[in-house]
Amino acid sequence: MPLARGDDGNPHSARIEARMQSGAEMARVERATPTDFWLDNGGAGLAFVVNPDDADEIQPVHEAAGRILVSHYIDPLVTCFQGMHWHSAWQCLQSRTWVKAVWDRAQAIELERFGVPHVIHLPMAAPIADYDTRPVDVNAIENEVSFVGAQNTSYFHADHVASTEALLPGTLAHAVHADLPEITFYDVYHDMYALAEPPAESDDLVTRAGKTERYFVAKLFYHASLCLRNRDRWIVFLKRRLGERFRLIGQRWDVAYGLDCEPPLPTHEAYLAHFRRTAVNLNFINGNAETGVNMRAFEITAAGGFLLCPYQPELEECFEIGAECDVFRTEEELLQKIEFYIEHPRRRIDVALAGQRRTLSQHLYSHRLETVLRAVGRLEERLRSHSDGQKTAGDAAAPRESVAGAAVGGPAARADRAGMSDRSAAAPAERIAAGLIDNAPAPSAT
Amino acid sequence: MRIASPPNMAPAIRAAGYEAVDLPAVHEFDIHRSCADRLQDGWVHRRFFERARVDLVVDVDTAALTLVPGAQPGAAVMTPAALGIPYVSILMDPVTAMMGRSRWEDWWLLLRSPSWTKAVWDTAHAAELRRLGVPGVVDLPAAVMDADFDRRPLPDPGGGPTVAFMGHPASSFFTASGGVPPANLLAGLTAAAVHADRPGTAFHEVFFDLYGFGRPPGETDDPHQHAALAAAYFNAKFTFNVYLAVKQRDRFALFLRRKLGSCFELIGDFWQQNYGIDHAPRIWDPAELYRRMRAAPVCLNLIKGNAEYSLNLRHFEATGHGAFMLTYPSPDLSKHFRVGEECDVFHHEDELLERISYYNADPARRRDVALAGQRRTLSEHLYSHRIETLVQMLKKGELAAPLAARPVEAAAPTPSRQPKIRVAGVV
Repeated sequence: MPLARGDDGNPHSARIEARMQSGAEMARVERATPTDFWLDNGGAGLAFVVNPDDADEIQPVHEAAGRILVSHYIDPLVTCFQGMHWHSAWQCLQSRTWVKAVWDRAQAIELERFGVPHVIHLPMAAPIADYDTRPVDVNAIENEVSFVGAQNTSYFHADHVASTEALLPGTLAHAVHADLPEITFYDVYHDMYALAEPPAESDDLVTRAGKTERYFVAKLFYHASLCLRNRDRWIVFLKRRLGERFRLIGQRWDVAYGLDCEPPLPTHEAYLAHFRRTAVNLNFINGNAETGVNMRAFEITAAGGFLLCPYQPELEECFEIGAECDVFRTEEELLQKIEFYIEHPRRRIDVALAGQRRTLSQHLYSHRLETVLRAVGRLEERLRSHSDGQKTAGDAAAPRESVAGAAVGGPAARADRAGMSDRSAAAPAERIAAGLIDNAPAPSAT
Repeated sequence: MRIASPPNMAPAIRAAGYEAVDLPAVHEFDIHRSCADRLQDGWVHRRFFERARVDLVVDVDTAALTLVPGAQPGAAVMTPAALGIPYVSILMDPVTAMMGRSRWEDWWLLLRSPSWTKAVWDTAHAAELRRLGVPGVVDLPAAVMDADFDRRPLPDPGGGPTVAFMGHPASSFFTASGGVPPANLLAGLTAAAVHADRPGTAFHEVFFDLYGFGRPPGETDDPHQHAALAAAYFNAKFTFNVYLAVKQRDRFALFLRRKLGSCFELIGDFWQQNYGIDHAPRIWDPAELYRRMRAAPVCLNLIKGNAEYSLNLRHFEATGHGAFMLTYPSPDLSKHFRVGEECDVFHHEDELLERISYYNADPARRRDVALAGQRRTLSEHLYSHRIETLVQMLKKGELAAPLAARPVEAAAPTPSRQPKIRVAGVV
């Protein structure tokens, strides 16, 4: 399928015009080679065609084509539609033939609670490949301890001033999380502290979009702080303590913290091979995750490398800690475990082998596809039931939108299409297409 | 032994069995007054000390800190130290919270006086001051002023609020205007992250040991550099203090107001201004304040952001006056109270609600814990006990030694001149 991109080449920053170009192409491809459903990464499959019944309106192409779209999000959903006005993106997210498969359970739940239909939790995984399943050769180890990954927040280094008021929600969430590790930002923001009114079922789309937008803006500082807490601090600590024993590969560590770092590995093969030549492969989750496990945990283990990482709530669902990977919770424990596993190669290799067996048997993207297929099947069944129910009731043939559930109109979308993309403009969605008036309860899909 | 102090410490001195001598009031004992003002005050206190024959001066914060000219031109010396009298300040606030009208460099130089004992209530703050090169720092927990305490058992709760907190918000940071450069947040947030994973980690351990954000001042640093390094440390710590303010106090007031409504009695100023929540104004009359503490079915104690390890005054005020105290735990709490027997704790919001309900439903248990806590405080945690501790330290030579008595210059300083501070014994 063609992929819309923004001016910077990033699909996440694709504007509506680019998505309309790709939409037309997608429709053409689908007509030529019909498929059962569409699967994309990060909402790249959200593209548009003009509503044939109303030239002022555009429609998601997957709905126009009568196809279910499944998007697998490995970044926070809000970052995947940077080229669109949030209100337009929010309207599209109401599509009832669009499954949003989110890797972080806390984020999946928050979207569900915001009323986004068809959200499922889908952990990341390792790509399908021919992995070397031989035990790592101790004599081939070149690095004692290593991390491969970029420094991902410029929040603390950019030249700007943060409003102190904007820091309260994130500070509060950190304080509560320190005492209640299972608590998420949503729990603190809405349930425990009611910092704002959550979206309600009685809210119209515009109101709901506005509330969610304010929520995600309030969460920004929390994400930046999580970058520091989950990743950056460990890197800074290790470089200070271990110096050259700690090999740091990735961008922007020099800019952000003045640390010595190496450029990214040139190929995926080199990337996987690096994990097998490193005694202790560290994985640090980014600030965009509250509970989830990132792809690197599965890549390291799939390659046969030994994985050591900070404890993360969903890690235990994926690996047996201590047997298939290991964790640390403090700086002292990190150093202790690095030394332990360097000094005990047999133990390290056993854990790595067990972790590899686990990943290759349960955590490849082929396994995730099975979950996707089940979700698509369930949604197809519900759609059939809904359609049959309407026929039984003697309704007139539902407008085409009602099968899909969403059409995008209103000043925001028109502004986006005109290339104005004035994100600061108020964006009441004046026209909500009939398809959104779908009184069937959204099935709980998480 | 004759011990001079501001008047508020006199009852404790007498209760400890010593003769209390009231220091003359100077500038209303304003802890923020300038060094120039303190030089003026020094003449008052010098005449007093020359007549009063005092063995020890016990100050509260820097209320009675006065200066006299030293032997060298332009130098200034603490008045008691200049006259050979040991001088101790019981610090009830962090050093950054006093001397607001003095230059930081002058204040830091005074703190480095080797003839001045600083008795610090928070053990983490004491440790960081030592690391920053401040001599004469000793650990001295807070306490409650000696008084006639109501020792009657608590009555059963009547109707009305089930829990009360008396105190101000710990932070006004989130309503401050002007914003903050995010780079200024880095050290504090890093410390917060470490603290979340390893509770009880002090900021100075993160700043100096784990992450090397800076270095402590050294003996070879000149006074300007020494003060600058200390200032950089405390500026970096500010964000951590804000985090602790939220973690240890403000969040629970917000939470209880939302969850319990009028069943939560919040008494203190600035809550509406800082967080938009209803509150009753501060109670200025101590007798009324303590009566209200006893009347609250659960008297909540929440520590401010400037304390990392230790207990604040209210731990001892509440228990000393017989209230039932429920508190967020501090690392040093179990050194002073048996948790569950002399007070109780909660660790998070859910447990807070559970403990409030529990003790409201079991007034006998609540009464027993309150009585036990009061017995503990009245037997170990009065300021008379702290005075005795200081006297014993004096006898053992553990307090900072004063300078040998030396003649001071006859002429009083011109009030308008801002003196350059040179502190004896500080290079």
